[in-house]
Order: sequence, then structure tokens, then C-alpha cells
Amino acid sequence: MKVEENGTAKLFFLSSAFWFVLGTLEGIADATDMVVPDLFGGISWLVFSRIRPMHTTTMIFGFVGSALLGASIYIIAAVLRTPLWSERLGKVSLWIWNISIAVGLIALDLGYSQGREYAEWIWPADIGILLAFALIFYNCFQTAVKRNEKIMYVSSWYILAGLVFTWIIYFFGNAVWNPEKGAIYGLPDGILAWFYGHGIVGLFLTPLAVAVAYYIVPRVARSPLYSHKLSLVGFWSILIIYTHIGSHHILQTPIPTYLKVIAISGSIAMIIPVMTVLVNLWLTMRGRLGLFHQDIGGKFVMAGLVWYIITCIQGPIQALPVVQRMTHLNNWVIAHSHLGVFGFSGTIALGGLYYILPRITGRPLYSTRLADVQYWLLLLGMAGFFGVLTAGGLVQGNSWLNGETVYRTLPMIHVYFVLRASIGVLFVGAAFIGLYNIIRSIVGEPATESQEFETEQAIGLTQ
Amino acid sequence: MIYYAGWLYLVGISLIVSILAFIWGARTGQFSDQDRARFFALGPDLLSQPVKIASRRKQRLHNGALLGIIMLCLSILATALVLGILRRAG
Amino acid sequence: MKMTPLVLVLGGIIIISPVLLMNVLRPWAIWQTERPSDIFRARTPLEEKGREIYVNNGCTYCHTQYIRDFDWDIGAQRISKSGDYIAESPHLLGTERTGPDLSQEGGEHPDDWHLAHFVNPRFVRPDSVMPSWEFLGQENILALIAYKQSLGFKQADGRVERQKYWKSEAIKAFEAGPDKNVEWLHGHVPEPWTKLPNPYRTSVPGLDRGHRVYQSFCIGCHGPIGDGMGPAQPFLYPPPLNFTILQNRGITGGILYYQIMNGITGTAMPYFKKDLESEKIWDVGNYIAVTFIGETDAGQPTRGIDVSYEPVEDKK
Ligand code: HEM
Ligand code: HEM
Repeated sequence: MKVEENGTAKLFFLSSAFWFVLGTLEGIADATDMVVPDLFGGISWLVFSRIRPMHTTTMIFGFVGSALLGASIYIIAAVLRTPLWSERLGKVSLWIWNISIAVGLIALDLGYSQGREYAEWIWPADIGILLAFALIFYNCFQTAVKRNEKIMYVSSWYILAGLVFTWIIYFFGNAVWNPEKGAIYGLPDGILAWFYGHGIVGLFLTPLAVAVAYYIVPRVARSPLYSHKLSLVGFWSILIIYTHIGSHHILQTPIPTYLKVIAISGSIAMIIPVMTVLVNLWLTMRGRLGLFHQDIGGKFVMAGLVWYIITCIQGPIQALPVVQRMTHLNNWVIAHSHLGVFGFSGTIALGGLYYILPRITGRPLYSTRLADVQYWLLLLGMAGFFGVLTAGGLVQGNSWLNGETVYRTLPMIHVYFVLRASIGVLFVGAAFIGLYNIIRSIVGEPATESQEFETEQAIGLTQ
Repeated sequence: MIYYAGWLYLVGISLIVSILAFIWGARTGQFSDQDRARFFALGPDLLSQPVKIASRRKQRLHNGALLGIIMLCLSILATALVLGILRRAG
Repeated sequence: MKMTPLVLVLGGIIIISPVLLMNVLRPWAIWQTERPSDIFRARTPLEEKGREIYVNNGCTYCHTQYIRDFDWDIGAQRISKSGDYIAESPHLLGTERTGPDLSQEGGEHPDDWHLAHFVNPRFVRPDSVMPSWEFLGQENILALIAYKQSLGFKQADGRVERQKYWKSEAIKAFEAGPDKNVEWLHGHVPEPWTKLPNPYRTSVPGLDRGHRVYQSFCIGCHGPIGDGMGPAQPFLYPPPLNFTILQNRGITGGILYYQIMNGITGTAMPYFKKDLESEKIWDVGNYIAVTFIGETDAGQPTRGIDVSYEPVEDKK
């Protein structure tokens, strides 16, 4: 195994680009299925409901997860002023990670699923993922133990805590002590599953994405973080609040009232940790936006933060029971999922990728222009997705409230399904562009566009 | 009522844990050197990299796009909130 | 002591354990004493197998399994209770309703409707976006049907019994020939309805609307020309009615209305009263009467005060 500095992070980025392409293809296949259900004419491995869990897990773990892990591994070493403890171990975990994802996906496609959202993968894949998380955590942990900088920067806290929490949540959420079903019994299983499902977005994607933002924003702004103390407040409050609001996904089922109360009040309280992050980063970048518009990584991160604002205003609103009467169970929630998982964490992950990759390879991106094209495609696509799916969801929700049957609403939302599929094409294009760009950046010859990346002298910040 | 007891229990434990953690942090001086910690994302490598600022036109375009998206999304959300509350009668 | 990584890990564990306790162990402890609800019963092995197929193929991404107190669609007669779920593993609550809720699906339709529906949902529900499941093979589809018929537990069992009883009656009637069959069908429409003519006059826009309804709801079984030879026909027994045999057999608007509204339990003919409002049922009934049967009693003079939207010049 070739061992080079930051090789693990680089390969995680490459994996992410690959899974992104696969994930968007799955997404477009699903969107097409909803428009022309007989198009794939009964091909078992293209059927909507087998592809759907593949789409979600490919995106969450494969695309966003890999990029965030790669960036985290790089960042924790950078902010602690210490090289990664073991690149060799890093590569081992990378392969276990990717192979487990592949095993989980193939099994899903062949019709082996454990049936709970985001926890569908069969037991062997679960074990692999847990092992990979454990190894990555151990690697980061040892790096932290050997660190040259006594005080730990906020990013490293988020990373270590994110990895630990994810491990625990993954372990319990997948009920790995029950290999056959990966579940417990009754409504408590629903609660456990959503405790997990929520943890995956809230304690895996969110902390790692925030860690990346906390690293990249000050660097692009060339300015210290506005307040480290504030960032710590945000860190602790997210740990305390985010962990137990999972039942807001099943508020309308007959679960105990006290859980609903916790979930709703916790969802509203989420405004605190979210605001600490956003205010802190905003005050760091204020007056220096010109730098962000120019840096491709900074640009992605900035857009990701914008999506974060929207996601986290939407979240507490849709956790209110009066609003859920209209938004629950329809495409409104799908809009929120894409906003959170792609808009927020996916966009920041891409920002981390584009910022860090040139610093690993030591030469500029193959093409900043291509990355820019990708950026605009994704920005447009995400805005379109949000609008179309939210609109479709409101149509469904209001029709049901007014006594229409589900079957009657299908023709009403057909047009939104068509729009979703068309907008999906932007994503697919963007994913392919990204993969090409990233492969060329890693293996290709030095840049074609002239970018005086290392040579030019630093010029002072003229405000 | 019994359900609510459980909720208070959780709030209690979370509060105690966070207060303890905070007291501990304060006493061990974790929060004392915060001004230095602010700089940790930056590094000497930045010094050798050029600072590039986007042109005004580019800045305006980008800011406008992001702002437009925020306004659009927020107005959608506000509408939903209002509708949700108005439509409560179902 | 500094904020070392060890402390961070410990801190994380300390925080997460009460959360685990509260969110997992405590509800679990509550459900240790949870009683099965009044409708609960255990599933048979075949139903269990069907459930596994349901899990493996991701049906839960489009179908929820719980009823809320403000729902209108299938199953809205019973709001879910926590005791309904004690044997569920994994849970199949679901988060999307691209298709209808299934928690009370058992006995809504007879088995043959389900068979046609699984082979291709559009055979019986033309606007459906559900995938075709023919590739699962006969055996698996039968298991899935058994599972679906068990949804709703004891209440479903009662409905399934009812379907079986009326299916045998309907088959007897069908096999006795068209005369007897039509007599049987009309005999089960309550008296006031059989005498009730269609109160609306025939009009081109009305027939057009009826045509549209027909295409979204009826065409899969009764076929484009109303001869009962829609794509679902090979799967259904008794087969869908050929409307032309109703000619000269005393059909009235009221009979059509009643049967479209309530369906014919035991046969694949479902009730449409949840999907279609009154006017739509009259329109599609009239469309069938005019287009396929060739007899209509629309606009008979037995009417009360005219509905305000009807054209005035019609009134002689
Ligand atoms: C303040 C923060 C947030 C709150 C209060 C919140 C709240 C909610 C609520 C209430 C739902 C359930 C909606 C329903 O089913 O009716 C939900 C669903 C979801 N959220 Fe969030 N959310 C927040 C942030 C995020 C973030 C940052 C992400 C992604 C990283 C995210 C990803 C998701 C996903 C994927 C679902 C869909 C789950 C499903 O039903 O399959 N959320 N959120
Ligand atoms: C090519 C672009 C995409 C298309 C066409 C697409 C389409 C879809 C479709 C059809 C669904 C299922 C919705 C349903 O069950 O009704 C879905 C769900 C989902 N997608 Fe995508 N998607 C795309 C991109 C993405 C990206 C980039 C991400 C994240 C990085 C993502 C994350 C998700 C998630 C988390 C869900 C689950 C939603 C939920 O359970 O509530 N998708 N997508």
C-alpha cells in the first residue's frame, strides 16, 4: 500500500466524487419511475423502491459522508499541527468504508433490506461501517493525543464528537445485536429507528460539515474566527439538544406524549446551536465576501451555509404539529431532506473537497472553471428542487386535509414529478463534471489554466 | 402525567451534565486562551498563497443569487406556517 | 485538567447515555407492559413471509401504516393505537404517502383484485405510479397478498370473510348466465335507488367529464369500449361486467350511481365514494349509459327544483 501524506483524505475525496455520480443516477432513475412507472418494464433491480434506499444511503454515506470524512481527517491534522497518526490505517479504513457501502448497496438492489430508513443495509455492511468509523475515530484520536497544539480548535471537537456519537447511534440504531432483522419490536422500534435516522443527519453530517465550515471560513477570509468561545457554546448545545429530538419524525403516530413534547421543544431549541454557528461564521466573513466569491471552495461553503439557514428555519417550523398536519408524509419533507443532506452538508462537503484537494496534491485544480460550472448547476438545481418539491408537497398536504384521496392527488402532482426529474438532470451533469474534474486534478498533468497557486507572493488584504 | 415526569428527568440530567461540563471547563482554564484558539484554522502556508478578490460584477451576481434564494425560500416557509395555522380546522 | 480528547469522549458518552435511557430504554420499559389492542392477532407464516417481501422491496417508502385522526382515505374508520404495533419488527410506519396508507388494507379488495394490481397497478388503477411487481413471481405475490389481507388484524379478517362470502355469491350469479347475473346485481341495490333516474340532463360537457373519470378509474377493468375486456380482465373472476349486456334489462341512473358509489363487495369492483364526489359519479354513470349501454334516463321529469347551473333554454 502506497503511503503518502494526506493520501487517505485524497482517496476519500475521489470516492465521494464517484458515489455522487452513482447517487444522482439512482435519483434520476427514481424520479423517472414516478413519471413513467412502466418505463423500466419490471426490471427488478431498477424498481423504484429498491433504488430509493440505495439513493439515500449512497448520498448520505457515499457522497456526503466520504467527502466529510476526508476533509475531517485532513482538518484535524491541520488544526492540531500534527500529521495524521497513521496514513496506513487511514487507507485500511477507507477501503473497509467503501467496500461496506458497495456491499450494502448491492444487497439492496438484489432485494435484501432491513427496511428502516437509512438503516437498510444488511448486517455485514453495518459491521463494516462500524469498523470503519471506529478505525477513523481511533486514527483521529491518536492524532489528537500526539498533538503539538495544546488547545483543541473547535473543528477537532466536532470531528471527534461526531465520530463517537455516530458510532454509538449507528450501533444502537441498526440493532446490530439482532443481525437478521436489525430491529427491535413495536413502536419502540420506530422510535429507535428515528432516533437513529435523525442522528445520522444531526450527529454525523451536521457536526462534520460544521467542522469543515469552521476550518474553511476563517482561512478563506484570512481572518481569525470571530469567537472561539461562542463556537464552544454551539458545540455543547448541539450535543445536548440534537440527540433526543428524533421523534419529530413520527409525531403523528401513537407514541407517548412526553416524547413528542421533548421532540417539539427540542426542535425549536435547535435555533440556539444553529444560530451560534451562523452568527460566528458570518461575523468572521463579514466585509470579506469578495474573497469568498473568488475562492471556489469558499464559495461552496458559503452557499452551504445559506442552505443551512434555510434548513434550520424550516426544521423547527415543520416540527410544529399544526404545520405537520399539512407537511408530513408528502414531498414537503423530501424538499427538506434534499435541502439538508445536499444543500447544507453536501455543498459544504464539496467546498471542503475543492478547498483541500489542491493543498494535498500541491497543484491547482484541473479546472476551476469546471468547478464553477458545477457550482452553478448545483445551486440552480437545489433551488429548483426546493421550490418544486415544496409546492408539490403543499398541494398533496392541502388536498388530503380537505378530503381528497391519495389516488386523486397523483395527477395533481404529476407536473411536479416531471419538473423534479428534469431538474435532476442538472445534478447528474454536475456530478459527472465533478468526477472528471477531480480525477484530472489527482492524476492529470499540471494545470492548463494558469493559476499562480504557489508561486505568487502574498499580497495584503486591502479592505 | 407519568410521561411528563420522564421528560423532566431528561431535562434535568442534560442540564446537570452541561453545567458540570461548563464548570469543569472553566476551572481547568479551557476557556482562558480563547483568543489564541481563534487563529488555529489559519496557518503559515496561507502566507505564500495569493489573495484574490472577485470583481464587483461577480460579487453582485453571486450575492444577488444567494439573497434571492434566501428570500424565496423564507417566503415559502412563512406561507406554509401561516397556512398551517389557519388550516388547523382541517 | 485540560480539554483532552479523552475528556471529550467521556463527555460525549455522559451526555448520550441519559438520552439513550430516555429515548430508548424508557419507552421500551413502557412497552414491556403494553397490551395488544382490541384488534390485534398474530400473523400466520405465509403472512410473515409476505411481510418480509414488503420489507425487502421497500414498499414502506410509499405506504405508511398509521391512521391519524384527520385522515379521510382508506382505513380512516380506525385511528391507530400503540397496541396495534406490538409484533412489528422492523416497524413499517413509513414517512411518505405517495400511495395510500395500508394499516387497514385487509379485506378492502378481494384477492383477485390484488393479483391484477401487483402484476401491474395500472391495470386496476390507471393513474397509479406504483411499480409492477410481476418479476417477484406468483408464489411471492401470493404471500404479499396474504400479508396485505392481514393488515388490520381481526377487523381485516372480518372484511376478508365478507369478501369471500360475496365472491361465492357473485360467482354463482355470473355462472347462471347474463339474465340471472344482471337480476342478481340489480336485486342487491336498495329499492329507492333502483327507481331513481339520473336527475341531470345529458350534455356534451357532462359526457366529457364522465369520459375523463372513466379513464382514470374504470378503463383498466371495463376496457375502452365497455365490454369488460380491460387489461385486468384475465386476472379477475367473476370478470368485469360487459356493459352492453345491460341493454333492455331495466338499468337506471340510480342503479349505476349506487354501484359505482359502493362497489360490489366480493368482486374486483371497488367502491368509489372516497375518490369521487356525487357529480362525478352521475357524470361517469351517464357516460356509461349513453356510450356503452345506449339507454339513458337522464333528465327525467321526476325532478325537483332545477339546479341553478343547468342551462335555462333546455327548459320547455
Ligand atoms: C434545526 C434543525 C432541524 C430541525 C428542527 C429539523 C426538523 C425536521 C423534522 C421535524 C423532520 C420531519 C418532517 C416530517 O416528517 O414531517 C425532518 C426531516 C428530515 N430532516 Fe430535518 N431538521 C433540521 C435540520 C436538518 C439538517 C441539518 C438535515 C441534514 C443534514 C436534515 C435532514 C432531514 C432529513 C433527511 C429528513 C427526512 C427524514 C425522512 O422522513 O425520511 N434536517 N427534519
Ligand atoms: C439527480 C438528482 C436527484 C434526484 C432526481 C433525486 C430524487 C429523489 C427521489 C425521487 C427521492 C424519493 C422521494 C420519495 O420517496 O418520494 C429522493 C429522496 C432522497 N434524496 Fe434525492 N435526488 C437527487 C439528488 C440528491 C442528492 C444530491 C442528495 C443528497 C446529497 C439526495 C438525498 C436524498 C435523501 C436524503 C432522500 C430521502 C428523503 C426522505 O426520506 O425524506 N438526493 N431523491
